[in-house]
Amino acid sequence: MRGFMGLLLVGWSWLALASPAAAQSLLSAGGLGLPVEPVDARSHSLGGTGLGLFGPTVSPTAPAAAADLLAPEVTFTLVQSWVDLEGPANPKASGARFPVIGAAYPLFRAGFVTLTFGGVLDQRWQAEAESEVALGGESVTVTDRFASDGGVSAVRVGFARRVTPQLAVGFSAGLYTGDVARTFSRSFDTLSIGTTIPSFSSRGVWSYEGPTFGVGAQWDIGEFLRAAGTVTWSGELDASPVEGTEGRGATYEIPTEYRLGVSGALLPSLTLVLGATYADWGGSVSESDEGRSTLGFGAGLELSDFELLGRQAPLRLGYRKAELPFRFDGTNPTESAWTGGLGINLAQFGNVPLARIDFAVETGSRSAGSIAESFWRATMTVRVAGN
Amino acid sequence: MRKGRARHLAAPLTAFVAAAAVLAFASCTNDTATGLDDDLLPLRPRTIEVRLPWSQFGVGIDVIGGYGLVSETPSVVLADDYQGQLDARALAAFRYPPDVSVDDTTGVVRIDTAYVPVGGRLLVRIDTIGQEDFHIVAGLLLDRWDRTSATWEVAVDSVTMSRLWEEPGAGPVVPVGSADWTPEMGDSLIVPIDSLAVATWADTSQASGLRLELETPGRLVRILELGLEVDARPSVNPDTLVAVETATGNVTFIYSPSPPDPSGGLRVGGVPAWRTVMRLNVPLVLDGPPELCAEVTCPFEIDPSRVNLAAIALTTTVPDAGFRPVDTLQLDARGILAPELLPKSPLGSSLASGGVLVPSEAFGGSTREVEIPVTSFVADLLRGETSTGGQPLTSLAIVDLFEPRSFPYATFAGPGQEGEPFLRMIVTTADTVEIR
Repeated sequence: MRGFMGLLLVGWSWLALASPAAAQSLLSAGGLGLPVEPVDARSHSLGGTGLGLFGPTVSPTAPAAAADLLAPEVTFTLVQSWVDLEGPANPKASGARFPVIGAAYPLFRAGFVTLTFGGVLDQRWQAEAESEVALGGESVTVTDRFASDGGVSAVRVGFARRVTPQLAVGFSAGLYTGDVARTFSRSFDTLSIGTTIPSFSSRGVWSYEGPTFGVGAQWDIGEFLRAAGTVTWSGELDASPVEGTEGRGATYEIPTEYRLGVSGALLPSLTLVLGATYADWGGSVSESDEGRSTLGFGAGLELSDFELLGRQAPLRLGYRKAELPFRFDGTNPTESAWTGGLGINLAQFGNVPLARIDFAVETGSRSAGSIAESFWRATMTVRVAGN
Repeated sequence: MRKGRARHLAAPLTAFVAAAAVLAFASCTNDTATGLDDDLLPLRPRTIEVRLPWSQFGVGIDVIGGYGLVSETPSVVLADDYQGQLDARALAAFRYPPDVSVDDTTGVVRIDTAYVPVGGRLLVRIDTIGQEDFHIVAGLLLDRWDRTSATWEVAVDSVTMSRLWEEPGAGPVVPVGSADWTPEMGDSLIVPIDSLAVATWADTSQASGLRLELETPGRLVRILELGLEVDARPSVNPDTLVAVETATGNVTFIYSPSPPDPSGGLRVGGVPAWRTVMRLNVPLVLDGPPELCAEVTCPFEIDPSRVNLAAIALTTTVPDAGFRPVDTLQLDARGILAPELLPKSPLGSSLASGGVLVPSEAFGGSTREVEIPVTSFVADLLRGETSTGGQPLTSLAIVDLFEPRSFPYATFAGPGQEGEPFLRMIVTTADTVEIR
């Protein structure tokens, strides 16, 4: 118990110390931002839905997946992206995204209680534009900058248990949290007029709050096929202005999200994974038609008998494609990526990994209107289990 | 047994791999995705310039002199009919050391309190910038004088005593030395002083000091350092002479004529220093001029949080002869904390941090606009309270940043004169920052 609590503390400390993340996409400027997939590196490398994978895990998007854990577990994930932009934008961007963190602990012998934290919507982006204004008979160059910094996350408490040898179920309840700071500034290039003019700045900060619930099930058909599904329902997401903010608050409809995933063993050591997600963001942002229903799918292969340095090191390859929910520059953006990765079982007991580290690498593209982005993304997940 | 072994192996390897990976991720840079398209800017910013004439924001104005003492200035000035008007002379008194350490006739170092000054020399370091040949004369003052109150006419003006010079200009004196300076001599000048004066200054019952005078019409010389080195004959070894440095405790200068009254103009600086004190009442709502209303909807309410810059704009005039600045001035504005105590009111902190540099050429003939930022002062006035919730100040003083610096001062057109003060504001308006 003491060891587990230590791991938990380390994990949450890492979360607290995580540096403010920079956005990986200018498409965060559309609607409520860019959806964040709060899944681990194994899921990323297998196409991204993170559902129906063989083996237990602690995941914000798969409440039933912790049912088969044998021991308490802590898992944390960090994502780093590098983006090349084409169009009217600075050509480079990079940054560490929200970490995903999770913990599971057995509740007597009834099942596992889970605690997870993960990103939901990334709202980090900024825009700059230069123009000229006339002051004192002189033309002065001004730079306008608008920066949005923050996003929506969710913290969830869940419970998972196996109800029959074939069926496991889980549910979660949680809160949306996080905040966003939006800052406009205008700076003056005053060298030409010899008078220093301080910058103008106006800022607002809003904190997010709202409920979310999830239910999920996982069905094993024989030893070679597993199917899983999750429905995540969300209440209204309230954005409340913090003290000193002139702007008004707002309320958004977060749509119900459906996830499906299937894993099938093609060979004893080769598994095919398929997954799909659906959500209708059409009514999320009031007084605009920015949102739309989105469909995403992913597929991947996992070769589990590969070894590295004498240890089991599953190799993974995948692909995914998804519609992004908010229109940008008048068009509907999409994202697609090839994915791959590697896991290393640092210690295991029988077939149960006690310590594992997973890496995923993705390369893909997003486009909308005048903006096109190509990106590389690296994900790392550390899982440690034990009493 | 197997379980324990597995845990044992896992710990160091897990820690090493995890730490390496975290370090690798943590070292990555964060550069936020930045669009360069103004369509992404959700606000509609506009920057406008507002110029308020004195009548729309000024409630009262005073020019007050008398701050600081001539003796507090960092340099001493000599002038001879400078700019056809000004004469200035330096006054100094010296303190001899009570004893000197010298070798006696047997070579032993002794403390000698009975040494006899027999000669000496003035060591003068001057500001050579733009300087030409000049001739100076040193004289032995016959009257006692007070460093802090001496003027051209008055030798002492204190609570207990007031006495005029026998002759205006710290006269009469007994000439005790003179010297010529040329640019080839560098920044130092040595004036030999005769033995009578050196001996007189050693007698504390008689000592009255030195007057240094410039005798080259049209010149002004700034003295940066002034010292007296005395040749002394030790009583323990009368066959030798030793050089003794004296302490220059009392140095000041006197000048004539005194500056005339400002007569409606504004004045800043000089010594004793002048300050221009303004009382302001900046309007919250503007309904003109037409150029402003062409840019914004009138009546236009000024939001204090959107004032980028507020500055008092002053137009230079030519100071009185003899008092025109020869160096760059640094002007500042400071709030007046207790206007009812003027001229003794304490001042707030600098509003124009670092001061506004005004070159001496600005006072040479053609006029020039000088802007002194007072942004936080005006914002507090508009808001009706300070940023900490206190009562805003309504009066401010335009001052020399280093007061008192020297006798030249800056002059500006006053209210009702051509080029009267005005308030220049640069205001940026924009929509409120909203969440989507």
